[in-house]
Amino acid sequence: MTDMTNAILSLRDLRVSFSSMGRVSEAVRGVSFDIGNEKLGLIGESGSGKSMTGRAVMRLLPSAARVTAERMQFQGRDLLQLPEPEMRAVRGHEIAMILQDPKFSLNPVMNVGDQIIETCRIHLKLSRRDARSRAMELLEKVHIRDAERVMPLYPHEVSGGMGQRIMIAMMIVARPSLIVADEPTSALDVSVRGQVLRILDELRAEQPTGLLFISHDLNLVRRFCDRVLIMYAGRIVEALPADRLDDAEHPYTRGLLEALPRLDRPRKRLAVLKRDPAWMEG
Amino acid sequence: MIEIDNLRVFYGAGSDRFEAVRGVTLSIRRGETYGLVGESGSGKSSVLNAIAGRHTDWTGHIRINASSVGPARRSRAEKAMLQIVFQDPYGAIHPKHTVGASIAEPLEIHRRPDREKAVERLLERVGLPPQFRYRFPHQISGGQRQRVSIARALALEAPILLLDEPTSALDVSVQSEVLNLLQDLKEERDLTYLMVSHDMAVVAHMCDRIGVMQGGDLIEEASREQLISGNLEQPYSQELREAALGLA
Repeated sequence: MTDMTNAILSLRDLRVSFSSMGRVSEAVRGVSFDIGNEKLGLIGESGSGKSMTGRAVMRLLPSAARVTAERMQFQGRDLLQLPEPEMRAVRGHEIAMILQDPKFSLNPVMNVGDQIIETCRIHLKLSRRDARSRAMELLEKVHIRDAERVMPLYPHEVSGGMGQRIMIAMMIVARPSLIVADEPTSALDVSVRGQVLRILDELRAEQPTGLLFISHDLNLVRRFCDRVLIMYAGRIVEALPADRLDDAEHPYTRGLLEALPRLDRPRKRLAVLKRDPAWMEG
Repeated sequence: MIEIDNLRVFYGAGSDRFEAVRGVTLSIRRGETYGLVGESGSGKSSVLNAIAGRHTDWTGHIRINASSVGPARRSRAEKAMLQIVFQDPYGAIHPKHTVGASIAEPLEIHRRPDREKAVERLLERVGLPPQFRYRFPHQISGGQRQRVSIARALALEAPILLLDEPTSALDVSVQSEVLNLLQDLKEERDLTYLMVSHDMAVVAHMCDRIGVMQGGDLIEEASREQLISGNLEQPYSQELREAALGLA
């Protein structure tokens, strides 16, 4: 665990629950971690609560969700207690989020140039002219070389990889110190995926940034992240350095690794995960 | 079992006419599993759709079990030669039909007898309990839905299965169950598989041989051993392989 003093975000006993028809179901059941200037992978299968954890940090859960935590501290502030207008200033400004599919995150009826310019004007309070030149710089930073040509395009006219880089350009307008990336490369082709990951690395090299990298892809997280948390049924069952993922001890993590087809370790038959009810509690 | 000679696949008309597959030649032996890998837009699914008869705007030669098929509508016997399993099992099964009705549909179309019994056997074979036949797709999980798609594809006992990203929408733990099922079925029934995937690790696990597609061309063919050891000629194939290792 990262030393508390270095933590950008510190979470203790995060719980997210939904109640419907008198029944309460807990989607996140006591998640605790600290994230410093590092790439922290959060791995889990569908329904494990990994996305819910990311959204809880952004306070972007539907109003039906009940979020509690012993501590949800970001740069010395308690995010849970922050009034919504202040939270809105944190969101996008100090904590940014990238989602899987840029097609759903970008405004479909506004060209991408105007979207970046708008972001610059809101967050940096720039004039339209300054915002435009800032937008061009940002596009270059995410390796879009012909920014002039790209700015007038609408989201449906750009490829997935281009869309994701535009999202990143908008995200870094305000220099966030924490980035929540929820499956940021899952919808991308592998050649583009590498490019997006390199851009994230370049940004982190410029200033200390915590990256919470939510993914289902064990091979990717193993290579890209510094540390990994494994989530199962709303809890973190194991935490370890990413390059030691193969030494995982929890039977769920072991099961996942055995079930994964691997080029570097071919086997005749994949193992089938046998879920143990005891994992629910640890 | 499948021979393709100079296959070109087109979309659109007039000045918008686009050549998605630009002269692909390959052949797949009986009992073999052949993997077509590539990124979106490489033409891998277009090859599969031309073989399946889902897309008709193509030129070249396709021979299935040594008999030629054309782009025109196929006979019932030709159709019964192959079946497809799609990526998204929710989109592939009718949401308002029960599981049993979905599996029975190809049997009805082909007027096969003893359909009740057949559905029961198929469900059992893909590892689903018999009472599942009364369920609707939304009442079962993604992995179970993919088992239903496989059961349906097996219904006519077609000797060839075309697998279009069959596990890309599934979690790792569910993926292993479905891949194991596909391997068992292949051995048991001497099936021939053509699998389209973007995931080299899955392809290396399942396939005897692979073809790498890029921009409508088949740029390289390799054996499983070559793929595993990294003995590939094209830099692009290497790049795909490294991505599957998590590098990149």
